[in-house]
Amino acid sequence: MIETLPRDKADRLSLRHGVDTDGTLEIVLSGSLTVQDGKAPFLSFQKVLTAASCRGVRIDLKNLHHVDSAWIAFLASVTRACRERNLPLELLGDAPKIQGLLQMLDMDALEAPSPASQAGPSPPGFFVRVGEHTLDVLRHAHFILAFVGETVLALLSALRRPRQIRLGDLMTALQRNGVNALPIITLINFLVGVVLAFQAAIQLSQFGANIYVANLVGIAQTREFGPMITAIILAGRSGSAFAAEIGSMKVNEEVDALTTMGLSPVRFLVLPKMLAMLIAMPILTCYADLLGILGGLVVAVTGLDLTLQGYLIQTRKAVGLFDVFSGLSKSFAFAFIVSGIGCLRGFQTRGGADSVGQAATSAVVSGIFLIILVDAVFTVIFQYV
Amino acid sequence: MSERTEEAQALSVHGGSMHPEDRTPLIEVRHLTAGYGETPILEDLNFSVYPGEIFVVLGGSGCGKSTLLKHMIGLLPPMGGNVFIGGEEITGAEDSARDRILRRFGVLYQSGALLSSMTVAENIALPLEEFTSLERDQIDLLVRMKLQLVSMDGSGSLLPSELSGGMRKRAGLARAMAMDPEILFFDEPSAGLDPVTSADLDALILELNRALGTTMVLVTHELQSIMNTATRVIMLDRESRGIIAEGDPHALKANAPDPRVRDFFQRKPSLRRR
Repeated sequence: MIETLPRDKADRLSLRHGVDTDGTLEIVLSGSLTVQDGKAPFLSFQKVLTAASCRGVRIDLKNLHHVDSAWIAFLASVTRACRERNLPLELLGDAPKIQGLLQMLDMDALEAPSPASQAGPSPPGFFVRVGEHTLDVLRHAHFILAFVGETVLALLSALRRPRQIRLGDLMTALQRNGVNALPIITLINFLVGVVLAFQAAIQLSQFGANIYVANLVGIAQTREFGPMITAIILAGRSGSAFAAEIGSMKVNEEVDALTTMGLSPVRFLVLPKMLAMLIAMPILTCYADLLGILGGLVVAVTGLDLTLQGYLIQTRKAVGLFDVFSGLSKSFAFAFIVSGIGCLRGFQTRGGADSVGQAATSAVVSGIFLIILVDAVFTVIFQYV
Repeated sequence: MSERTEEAQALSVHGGSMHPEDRTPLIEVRHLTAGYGETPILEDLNFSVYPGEIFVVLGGSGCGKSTLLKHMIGLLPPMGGNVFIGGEEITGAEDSARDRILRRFGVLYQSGALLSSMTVAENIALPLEEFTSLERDQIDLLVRMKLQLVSMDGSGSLLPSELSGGMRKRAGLARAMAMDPEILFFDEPSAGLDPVTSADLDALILELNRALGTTMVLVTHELQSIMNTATRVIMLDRESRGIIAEGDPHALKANAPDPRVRDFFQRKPSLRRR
C-alpha cells in the first residue's frame, strides 16, 4: 500500500508498507520528511502500526533523500511506539544529511527528558510562600517610602533653588499633560454637567423646584465631579504615560545611565512631571467646574424653562468660595497621586516589554483607586469643617 | 594547515566541491539601491550567496551593513533593484509567496529579540505552533532538540530577562532554527559578548553549518569572528556606497589592493586621523 502525504513542494513524502512472510512490518519511506509536513507522517505511521499484526518493524530509508529535524522527532516517536509494543525496530540505510545533527544531540536525553529540567523547580511550600510574600511586601513598602522621601526632598530642594528645575522639561510636561488634555476634559465635564442636570430635574420638577438644579449641579461639580473626573482622566492619560516612559527607560538601562552620570533620576524624571501636574491639575479642575456648570445651564435653558440669568444668579448664590477651594485642595492631592503613582510604577518595572505594559496598567488602576479613596477622606473631613 | 582552512575543507564536504560560481545561488542581490527617505546609503549592489556558505557582510560603522540585511530579509523596500531568495523575489512578494520565502530563512537579531512575555521554550515553539500541524509532544521534542543544539538544555522554562547576553543570543538562534530554515541571517552576532562567549558562538555557527548544511549570512565588523567563520566576505564602504572588496577574508587581509580593505583587516586608524 502506498500513501502519499500532501505537501506544497513537488517532493512529497510517500510511505509504502506491507508485512513480510516472517511477520515484519516493512515501511519504505521515500521523498522528504520536514517540519513543514506537520503531524501527517506521525499519524500515518501510527495508523499503519495499529492496523498491522506484526512481530517487528523495519523502516527502509534508502529512498528518503531530504530530512530535517522533524526526522529526529519522527524517529523518537517510532522508537517509543515500538518499545511500548515490544516490537524490534530495524532501520535500513541512513537518513540523508542527518548524521552531523545526530552527532550534536543526546538522543537518550531527548527521548526521556528529565522532568525537573523542563518543569523547573518544585513549587515552594506554604510557609516558604508566606515568608516570601511578607518579604515582598516589606521590600515594596521600603521602595515606596524611599521613593516618597526622595521625591519630597527633591521638591523641597527645587522650591529652595528653583534653578534646579529643568524648565524645558517642565514646559514639555505642561504641554503634554495640561494643554493636550483640554479637549477630553471639555467633553467629559460638559457631559457630566448635562447628565447631572437631567437627573436632578427628574426629581426636582415634581416639587416645582427646577431652579435648584443650578444648586445641585454647581455644588456637585465644584466639590466632587470637577476634581475627581479631571483626576481620573489624567490618571488614565498621564499616569500611564509616565509609567510607560520611565518603565521603558528602566528596561533600557537609561535610568542606570542617569544615576552613573551623577544625575538623580527623581530630580531629572519625576520633578518636571510632578510640578507640571501640580500646576495643570488645579487649572484644569477650575476649567472642568465651569464646563460642568455650562452643561447644566444648557439643559436648564433648553429643557427646564429656566432663563440664562436666573440660572447664573442661582449658581452664584449656591456655590461659595469654600466649595471651589475644597475642590481645588483635592486637585492638589490628586496631582501628587497621579504623578507619584505613575512614576513609582515606572521605577518598579523589571524585565522586558510586557512589564512596561503591566506598569502602565498598574499606574492607572492604583491611581484611580487612590483618587477615590482620598476623595472620600476629603469629603468626610470637609463635612465637619 | 590553518584551523580555518581545515574548517573550509570540512565545509566543502557538505557544501559541494564545486567552485561557488558553478552552483546555483541561494540568495541573489541585483542592482540593489537602498537607503532611508530620498538618501541612498548603498547603490547598485550586486552579489550572490551560494548554498552551504558562511557569507559575511563587513564594513565600518555606518556603511549600511544592517540596512543591507534588512533589505535581504524583506523588512525594508529597496529604492531600486531586487533581492531573490531561492530564485523567488522577496521585494514586492505578497501573501502566500512572501510567507513561502520567509519560511526559508531564520534571523538572529542583535539582542536576540526574544518575546519577553514568553519563556525560552515558548519562544522556540511559537513558529512550530503557528506554521505546522505538529502535536504538542512533537513540538516539545523539537524544542528540546533545538535547545540541545545551542547547549541550553534545561533552560526552556527561563524568561528572556533571566538570561545572560550570550544565552539570549543562543536562545534567539534556537528560535531562528525552529523551522529548519535553509538560510540563517545573523545581525552582529558577537556584539556585546565577551571574547570567550563570542568564540563559543563562532564555534556553534561553524558546527551548525557543518552539521545541518545551513547557509549562513553574517553582518559583523568583529575581525576575529570574520576570520574564524567566514568562507567568503563582501566589504561595504560608506563613501563609495558599495562593495569595495569580495573574497576570502584571509586573502583580502594579506593581498587586498585597496588600502581601505587592508586598513580594516589590520585595524589601522582611518587616514584622516593619521
